Amino acid sequence: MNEIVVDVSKRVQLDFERLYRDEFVRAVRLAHLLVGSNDAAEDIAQDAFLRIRSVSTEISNPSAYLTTTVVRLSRNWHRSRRRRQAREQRRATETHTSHVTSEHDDQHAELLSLVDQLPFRQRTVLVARYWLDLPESEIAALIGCRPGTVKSLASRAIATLRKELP
Amino acid sequence: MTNDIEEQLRAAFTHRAEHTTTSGGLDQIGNNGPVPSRSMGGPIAAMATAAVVVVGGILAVNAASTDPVGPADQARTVPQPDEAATADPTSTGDLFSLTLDEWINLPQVDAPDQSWTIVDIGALPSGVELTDQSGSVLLGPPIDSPEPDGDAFDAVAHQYVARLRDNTGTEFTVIVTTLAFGPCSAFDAAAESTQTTADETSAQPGPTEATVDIGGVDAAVQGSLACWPLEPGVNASVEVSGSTLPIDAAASIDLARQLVFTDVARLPQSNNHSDRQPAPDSGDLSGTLNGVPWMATVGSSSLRTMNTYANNQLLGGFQHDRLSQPNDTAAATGELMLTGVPGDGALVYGYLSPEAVAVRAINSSGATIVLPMLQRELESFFVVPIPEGVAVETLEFIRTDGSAFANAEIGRLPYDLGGGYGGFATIKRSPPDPPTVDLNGFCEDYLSRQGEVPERYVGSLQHLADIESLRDVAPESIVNELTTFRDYIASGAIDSVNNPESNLIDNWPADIVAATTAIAEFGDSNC
Repeated sequence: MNEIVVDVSKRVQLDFERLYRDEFVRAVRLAHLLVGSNDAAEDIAQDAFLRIRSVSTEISNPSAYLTTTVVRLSRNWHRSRRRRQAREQRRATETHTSHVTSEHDDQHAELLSLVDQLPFRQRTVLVARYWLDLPESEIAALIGCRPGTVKSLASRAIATLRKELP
Repeated sequence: MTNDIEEQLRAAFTHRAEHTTTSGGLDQIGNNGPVPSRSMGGPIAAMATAAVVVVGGILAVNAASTDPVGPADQARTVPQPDEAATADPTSTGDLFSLTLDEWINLPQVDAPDQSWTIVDIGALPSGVELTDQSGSVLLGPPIDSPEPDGDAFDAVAHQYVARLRDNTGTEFTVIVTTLAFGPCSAFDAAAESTQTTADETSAQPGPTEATVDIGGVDAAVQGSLACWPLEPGVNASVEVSGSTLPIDAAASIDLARQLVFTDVARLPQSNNHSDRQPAPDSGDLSGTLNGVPWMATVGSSSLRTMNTYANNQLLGGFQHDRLSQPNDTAAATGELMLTGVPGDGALVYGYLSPEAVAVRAINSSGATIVLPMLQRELESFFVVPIPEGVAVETLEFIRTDGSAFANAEIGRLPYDLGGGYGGFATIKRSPPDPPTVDLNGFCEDYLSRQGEVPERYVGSLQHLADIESLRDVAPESIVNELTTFRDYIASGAIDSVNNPESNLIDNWPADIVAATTAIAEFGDSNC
């Protein structure tokens, strides 16, 4: 009774192996939706788990931590890719393009291709809302903006898709 | 139409997710974790809940772990907003070694009126002895919204804890507190839930035994704990230490009925400091406070961490993630905490945007002193040691040019408190944030330029025209970067036709890379 807990972190001893077993596939899928490349998605998920392991004793919500880490690493991936854009232009194919090609025959290819071209935050909002089923407040926390911004980003993204879709 | 798209998105995302292949598996974990990434880098993200605990009356972090300080944490040179903010706060121990006379050279301010209710140790029942006692005060503005667990604390609250032992060897814990989430809160909650349904009531915390009379008022009893109001807003409780057994309640009630309470101006300080974390060998900031050595360590590579130490023991600190702030985005404003150093003053500390480079403490008389801040990539950390008796009422956080970036009113601090105190204050931007810039034009232009372009476009006249067009609609905060990039293109340094290597960003000067990176990040963040 000698401690006043102002804000108790609900820390738990992280069962890393279990987290990896339970969440790895979801992490790769999330990254895949955000970067459009299966190979890069695996890299991102692996990197996210490495980072979680390095701070595992400090994490109170491993699943949420993982989601945020994957989103941030995916954003970094886009930035790195853009910086290498000139170099990549010389390549006959690029990771992103090869992925789209591999989905060319499926019924969702066109829509996913359009989603891939959205700015990262708009794309993240769509994935968070329609795949992760997160409420606006959590999406806002995930990408670091106000809930109202989430709404406008989603609206802008949907408007772009409506404009581009036949 | 929108609903159609939403359904299509759900289906498309699900489809892609289901067709995502993974090669990772448990076999890759082994003893070394998952296999290393082939290409990823960047800042480490964090989502641990902020954890601040009042331990024995002193604010402290909730975990002994500290954030490792990596290469990114190396201090940068701090500009000089005026004569008092020197280049490197880590080498300004003298500046942070403040006493009343040396610092402001003002007469000591009288202590504010303060009175706290504690057990009258001189009137303990026969056969009962005191083994330890401590008290603390929590300062801060009212919390507008409840804490995540539904708790809140008052603007000024105190808690006193006494440990007593009777002649049978039974040990008791006595608490007197004004904290809303003190030991009586469960009973308060139960009392407020009388309108709820039977099922809801059964789920509420509350007394499981009948109430009893202590000192003429109704006391609630749960397990071995008896709790009763001493006066409005002040509750007292007695329990057999470590016992939740109702059978022990009789001993608690018996002791409670014999205790006498008194008001004191100085809360007692615990004699037991064995559980305090020792100070590290060196800190990022250090000095003395009325001759008492103090230091602060900071970590900003993963979880934002700041620990303060005095008398070579952990004093207080904070550790939290950037849940509402992306890990690679600088802090917008900041947070301020304060922790008393019993008998010597207080350390006021926290962090702000790296835009702030120094903190100006303003005394009630108008006297000021400026201390440098420790700059990191994403935030600036500060410590203002305030000797007891100095009435620093306002802190102003200032930019390189000396203009005020933010401010905080910390009010009159209590002093001469044996048990110490801790608290919070709000940091406000000053002057107010500029009106929101209309980014529509910029974003429309920026977004229209996303996607693939021919290699020959880079550095071309069309490229130059496009950058100039974007600059025309850009907000002030990114114009300089666009101008830098525009000038680089105009210089002819990029010649994609005759010198293809010149259009590789890897071959551009560092300032051009920085400008283009800033432009891209601004666009991504705002569009």
